[in-house]
Amino acid sequence: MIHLHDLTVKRFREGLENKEFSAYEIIKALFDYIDLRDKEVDAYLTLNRDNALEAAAKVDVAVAEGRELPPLAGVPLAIKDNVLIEGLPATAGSKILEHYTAAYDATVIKKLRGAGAIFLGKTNLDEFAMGSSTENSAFKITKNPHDLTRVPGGSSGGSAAAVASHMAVAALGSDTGGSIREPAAFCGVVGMKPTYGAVSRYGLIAMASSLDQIGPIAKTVEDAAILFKQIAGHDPNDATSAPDIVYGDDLLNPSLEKMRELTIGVPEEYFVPGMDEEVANAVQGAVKEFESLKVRVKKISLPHTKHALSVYYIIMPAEVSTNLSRFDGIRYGDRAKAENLMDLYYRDRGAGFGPEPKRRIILGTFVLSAGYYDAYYAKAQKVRALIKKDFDEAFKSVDVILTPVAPTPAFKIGEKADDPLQMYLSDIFTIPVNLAGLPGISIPVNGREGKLPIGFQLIGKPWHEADILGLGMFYERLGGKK
Amino acid sequence: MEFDVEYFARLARIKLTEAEKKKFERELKDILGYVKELKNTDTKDAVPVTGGTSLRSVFREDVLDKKRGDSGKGRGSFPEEKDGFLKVPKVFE
Repeated sequence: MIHLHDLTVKRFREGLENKEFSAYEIIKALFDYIDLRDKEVDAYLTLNRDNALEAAAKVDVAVAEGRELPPLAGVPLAIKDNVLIEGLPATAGSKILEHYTAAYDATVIKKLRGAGAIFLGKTNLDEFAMGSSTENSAFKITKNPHDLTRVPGGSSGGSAAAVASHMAVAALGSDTGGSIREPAAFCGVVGMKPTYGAVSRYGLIAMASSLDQIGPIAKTVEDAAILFKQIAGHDPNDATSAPDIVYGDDLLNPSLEKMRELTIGVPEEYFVPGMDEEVANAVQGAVKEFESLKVRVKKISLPHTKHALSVYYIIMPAEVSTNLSRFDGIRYGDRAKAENLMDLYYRDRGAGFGPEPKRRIILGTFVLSAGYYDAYYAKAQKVRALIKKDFDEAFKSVDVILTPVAPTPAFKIGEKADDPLQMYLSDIFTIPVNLAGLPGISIPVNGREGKLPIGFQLIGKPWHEADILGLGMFYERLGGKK
Repeated sequence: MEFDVEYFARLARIKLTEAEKKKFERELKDILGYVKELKNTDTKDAVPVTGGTSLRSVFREDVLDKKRGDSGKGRGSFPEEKDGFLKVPKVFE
């Protein structure tokens, strides 16, 4: 049988069709490996073993009977635990949802299920997807498979670590300020945040609704494209999902000639003094490789980049404070003994939320409160417009923007845990993309075998995922990936 | 700036311990100290971005999903219920 290391979404399909292996064999092998390896990586919160094995056996019957297989038949995926799968827990990494069982499938799950995918389990995350290291989970700390003393990044750290350690073939994460791309970079896998509105958020436990997107985490850019194509599309249950965008087959079959018509912009503001030299050099190396592919590269400027973190830490907590008001101890959670309703709210929310959600809810309540609203929230909305305008301007002369994903490689567990502001700075290169609603992909820099992974980011025009995926596919082929 | 963490925690309906009050007050002051740099940005001509998309209001028919008409699964997570209804503490004294 194929080694789990070599298994991709694409390879799985070929192997299944050529009867090299059965879906049951692969999924059984994955669970056996998870039993062993996840003791040290701690990527999963819940395993869906029985359902997954049963579904795999059905796929094998379909193969044996020569039936036409759906595009993701039997593909074993890991799902971040803030995405609802009917009948399974959905904790969002929080004690306040510890005993919650999802009553329905998120739209992305419904689509993946329809395409034949199999869900191995739910992966660990920072509580309510708030964090850059997965250390904020109420349940456990996920470790970076490349160095167990380091963080996997976050908040989709469980999904990224599961894929990087071959405990899943691919995964879904969610990204509000970098939560797919940063862990993908830290773990040496591919992660894409789609254009805002490309993928339905229905059934995603909301953090900041104007920024959240669900996206794929995979071993190759091609796999990320395959998954994205399946989960994208309009959904009447998400009023912000785009009604008339259809992604074509160029997502999966890019042409090098077309890619050579694109110009890549490299913004000077993303190579700041004091940033990790190894990261800067690795990302500049990626730029050179694109030049070797005969893709044009030019320098650009995004002058309002320096305000992105401030804008984000006003708008995001404001949306958090309203979204998380639904966790009131009434319909979910463990109900504290309370004198009256008000007392119940205080106690349940006080005991149920961990430090990071509390910090952000209080901050959000502040920036939205009378007397401070204009100075903080309204101001941030305006500066957000300037950040967006920077990108609009840049996209007049370039098609794609290349930047680092994070200022450093994976840091040590505990290193930033006591300093929220330092932790927030891990996301300075990914946040602007969410504020502007653009698609962004994190791709591992080639040739870092045996070293800590470093990622670079390609940012595309809205709805131009085909550009960043296409360039990414040709880049990874330079590194020997098929 | 002064930041009355207790007041905003109360507005947010979150009970804090004494240790949390101290810790959050310090951390939130740090964060607010950082974000105040926005004050000096020129936003005279900026049209505020109020959401993730430029979509206008979106309407759809409110269709009853017969399969979902049963509230049974949603009820599964109620911390307390009586005769199929969600139980809450007294609202009025």
